[in-house]
Amino acid sequence: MTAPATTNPPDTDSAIGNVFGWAVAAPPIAWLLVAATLVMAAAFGYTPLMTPAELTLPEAAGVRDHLEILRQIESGVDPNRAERVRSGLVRPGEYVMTPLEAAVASGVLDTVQFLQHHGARVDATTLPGLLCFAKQQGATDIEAYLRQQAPVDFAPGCKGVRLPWTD
Amino acid sequence: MQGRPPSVDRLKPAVLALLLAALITLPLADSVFQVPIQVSDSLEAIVIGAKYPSSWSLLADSAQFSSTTFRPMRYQQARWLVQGAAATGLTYNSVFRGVHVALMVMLVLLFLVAIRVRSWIDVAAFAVAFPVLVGIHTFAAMLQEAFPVNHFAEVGVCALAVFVLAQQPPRWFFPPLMCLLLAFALSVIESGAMVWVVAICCAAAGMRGMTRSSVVAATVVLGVYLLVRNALDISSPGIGGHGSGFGGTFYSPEELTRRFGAHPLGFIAYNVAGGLASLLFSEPRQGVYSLASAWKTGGPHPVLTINLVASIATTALIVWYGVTHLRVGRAAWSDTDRMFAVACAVMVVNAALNAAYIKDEIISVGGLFYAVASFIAVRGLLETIPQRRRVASALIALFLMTDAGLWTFRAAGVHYVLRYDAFKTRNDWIEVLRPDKREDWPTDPQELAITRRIRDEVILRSVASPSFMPRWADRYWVE
Repeated sequence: MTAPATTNPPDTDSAIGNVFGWAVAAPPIAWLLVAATLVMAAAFGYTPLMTPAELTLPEAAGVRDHLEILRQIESGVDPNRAERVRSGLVRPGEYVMTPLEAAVASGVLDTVQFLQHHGARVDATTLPGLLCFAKQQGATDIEAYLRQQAPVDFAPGCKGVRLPWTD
Repeated sequence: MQGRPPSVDRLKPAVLALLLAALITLPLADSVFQVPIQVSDSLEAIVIGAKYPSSWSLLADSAQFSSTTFRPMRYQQARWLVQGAAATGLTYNSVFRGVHVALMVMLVLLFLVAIRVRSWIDVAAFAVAFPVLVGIHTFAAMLQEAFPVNHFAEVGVCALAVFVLAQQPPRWFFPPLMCLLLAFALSVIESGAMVWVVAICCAAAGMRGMTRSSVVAATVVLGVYLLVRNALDISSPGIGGHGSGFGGTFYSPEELTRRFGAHPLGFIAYNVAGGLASLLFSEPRQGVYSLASAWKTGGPHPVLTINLVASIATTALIVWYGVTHLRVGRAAWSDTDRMFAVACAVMVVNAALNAAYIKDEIISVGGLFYAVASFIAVRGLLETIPQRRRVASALIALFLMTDAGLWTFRAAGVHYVLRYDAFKTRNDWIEVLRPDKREDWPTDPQELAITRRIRDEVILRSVASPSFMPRWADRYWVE
């Protein structure tokens, strides 16, 4: 015996309609729930999709946020001061480094040049460390740029140079 | 439901739809507001608008700022908003970005009014169509850029307003109001002609609010506009006026002129077909078919797959509705069928505006009407559920849920795209008033003061760096 091939009986239409209606509406409602959770989390200080308010200058360099770099330098932050870089920004683990070191770690030449144009020192005291760090990181364009900044007779050696990390 | 007037029964679904729209729109408004004033396209217009001694002289001169565009209200609006900021004490960013947010909210409200949610089936259809409205790439195009006010969003508001008026019983003030909307839209950007297109399509479909007098008046306004353009010797940009794609490659204006300048017809046909395909299938984008190059990169990008599947499913629904409801002939069409016919016609005509080059913004009005058509088609499908077997009903629900899920995912991506844009736009300001390039600074004190003030506002503006956003998002939301 085969099951009767009928359409939905009228008394079940409403119930089925409700179930199907909610099923169709489920995705945007799910989106709303996610958005509401994020808004509530933000109210308690957890903002997973925003830049932290207390970003240090090396952190701004590490995440290539040039305008944040500019803002901090214009407000008086020393562009050569080593500060904390939080875990996950340039690599796993927390480090203390200068903005230029963070820029080298991020591998973006533009950021190195931007920092230099805004007062970060690339001279005999910082060049050996930066060059060795760029070489270690495989940032060839940054290494080449830094070599251009060095005096002709400058012969850096990496022995004894302190790097943010050595592995 | 006995004992209650029908209007009360209609109110609940409408309120729920409004609530749903508000909850989705408010965070989106925040993302739109976060994007700072742009350097390109915006700063110059703001400075020009503010520097002129009077509105009249600005209006008179701006008519001849370009040999290919006639956008007097572009500069006038910028001037008014600068004056508004001075009068209220608000920042330039708050005023200009606030207007952009207001335009987006108006688009959402007009969409809600246009589709008229009255029943629970309407709410279910709205749950699919609203993510289509927000998630389609042409909507994001209206939110991303500003010139300094997004004129495509303004045209979208005017076009939807005319569409809403056409649904109402005719009133004496409809013709002048429609003329006002058309004149305003034409004065901000050439795509404003879409307002006239909407009026003509509404009349052709027999929508009751679009009377003969409205059509004649709107056509006269368009005619006057064309005469003024002609008198001012303003031509339309031809091929090579803007970069555009062909096949799997994007070409610069010079390359386009070299390749297609002598024999443009084939390229024009490609662009018109591409504009329509972009609306219906989310491919091509700016004339470039990413699918064409996908085989080189080892398969299509996830964002491409998601956009394509979502659009194909919705377009299939729209085609199904058109085939099953419009073939009976215009006289037998319901009001909803007429709305649907207008939406489809507007999409087709809008695609034709891409003749010289394809750009998401140009088809943004078509994108709004795509969402209207999708609402009607989804509702049409849901209405058939009581007559179907349970398995078929369940499959339809599953299909719609998947489609809504994909569109919701696309719509959620608009936040990511806007935040990414905010970061990029904010960083563009590092090139403005560079201390080491003082020779590039404006020499006019007023221009320098405005530029400095906007720059200072942007620097203080906090935006999210992409480094703090999920890394996977690029693959799923950025094309």
